[in-house]
Amino acid sequence: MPAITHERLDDEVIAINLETGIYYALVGPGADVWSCFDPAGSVGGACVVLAARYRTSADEIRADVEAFARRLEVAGLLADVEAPDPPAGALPVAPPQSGWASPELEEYRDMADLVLLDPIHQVDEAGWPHLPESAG
Amino acid sequence: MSILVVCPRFAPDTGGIETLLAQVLPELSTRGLEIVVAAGTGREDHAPVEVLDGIPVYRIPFDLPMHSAKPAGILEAAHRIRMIEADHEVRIRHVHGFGDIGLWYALRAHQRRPLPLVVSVHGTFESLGRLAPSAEKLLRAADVVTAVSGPVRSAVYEAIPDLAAEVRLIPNGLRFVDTAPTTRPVAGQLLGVGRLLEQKGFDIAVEALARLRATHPSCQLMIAGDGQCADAIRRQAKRSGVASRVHLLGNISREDMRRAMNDASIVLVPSRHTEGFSLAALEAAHAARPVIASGIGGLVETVENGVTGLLVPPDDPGALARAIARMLDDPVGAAAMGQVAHERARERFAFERCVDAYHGLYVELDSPALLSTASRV
Repeated sequence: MPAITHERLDDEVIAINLETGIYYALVGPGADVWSCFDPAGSVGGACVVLAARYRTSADEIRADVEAFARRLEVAGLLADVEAPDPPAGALPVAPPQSGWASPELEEYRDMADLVLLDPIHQVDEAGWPHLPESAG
Repeated sequence: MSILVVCPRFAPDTGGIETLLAQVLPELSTRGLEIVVAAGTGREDHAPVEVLDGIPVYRIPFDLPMHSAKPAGILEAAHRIRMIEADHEVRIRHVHGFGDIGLWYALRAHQRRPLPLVVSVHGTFESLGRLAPSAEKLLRAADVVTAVSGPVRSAVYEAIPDLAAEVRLIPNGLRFVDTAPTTRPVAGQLLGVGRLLEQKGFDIAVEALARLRATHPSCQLMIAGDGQCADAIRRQAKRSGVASRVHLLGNISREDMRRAMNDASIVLVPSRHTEGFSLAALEAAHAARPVIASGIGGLVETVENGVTGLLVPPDDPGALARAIARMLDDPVGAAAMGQVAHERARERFAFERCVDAYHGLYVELDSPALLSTASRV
């Protein structure tokens, strides 16, 4: 499992895969699914908790949650482990800002490029005007 | 109508975009628009929020949490933008510049809550090699893209040939100083203005000065601006034997800038790349001073070769030295070029025209018909 750093604020989660440098953003239902799996959880448990939160039935949302869990797994953000069914992670007390919708995972693969846009990263220790090799 | 302007940095930080916005935004504000700025923090110790010339300016640490991969900081910065937009009932977002990570936050804000979006491109992308996907997404999301010069507009179309948004040309304009310069230039005084970054090419100017040591011994180079390359320039000047003739002025006030322009006999813009327009060249024209610039990007429009100044190949200290010598040896011709530049700038790069263009754009975008189309990305 790669090193992942993540944080939630209100209805948004930012997760960063520190090995690949890819940044991810999850909002609303996506952030809630994430929280259900933080630090561990099962699809079944998540569906129960999310159904209560979004005032729907677990059966209604199960396909979305399963698909999203697979998406997180493919992205290396979630790992399938053999363990007794853990309780779902805690969700915010505040009600959701919208109804249930298929969760989305926004992926940003160009953060290294964007960081390089900042001129403070354009020189190496030899000093300007020599660009660091990695910037070439 | 409230407009959120997202920009890399804002006054009193210096730079082309900062200089432009510091003049244009207060003028737009006097026309009844509520302008709110979300700017990166830069390196100065700015207050998190302050009011400058009637404009609320929020300084947001866009880059640090991104550089250090801190999700909490990224979320806080994104959250602050949402709060600012809610507090000011923002109806239009306007992103200026593509040289900063602030564009990612603007993209996130747009993905979360689409609003009419304007993206103003000030450079020509050369330093990037290619357009970062987030930058491309932002351009594709824009209702209108503006370019500060023809070459910048071409660069946008070249980067995204199927761009749906219209790319409008809005040349930069600065408030013209009514009083014509009264001081005579100091003979042999060269001036470079800009952040001391590799792309600005001030090392090339130092090398050109070194090559003129024997033929033009009284030549001096003043450089106004600051940046990470200051020490490297000092070291280079020392190595080249011109340390006593290279003067780094640091960041200077507008008044001191006008004085420095008036004192200069030639203004140098030796940029290597990404020069979409060059406000330094425009300010030189205001002061009726000729410019020697690299013939790249928007400089080929801002400086008319042989008419308002001379264009030389980029990264070519020999060519720059020859052009400087040519002007220094013909002070009457150089002064005439400065005078023509002064007159043409008044026509071509009028401040009012620039402000009118942005104002018209906002009015257009705020019309209900266009509001309903704000749903790209």
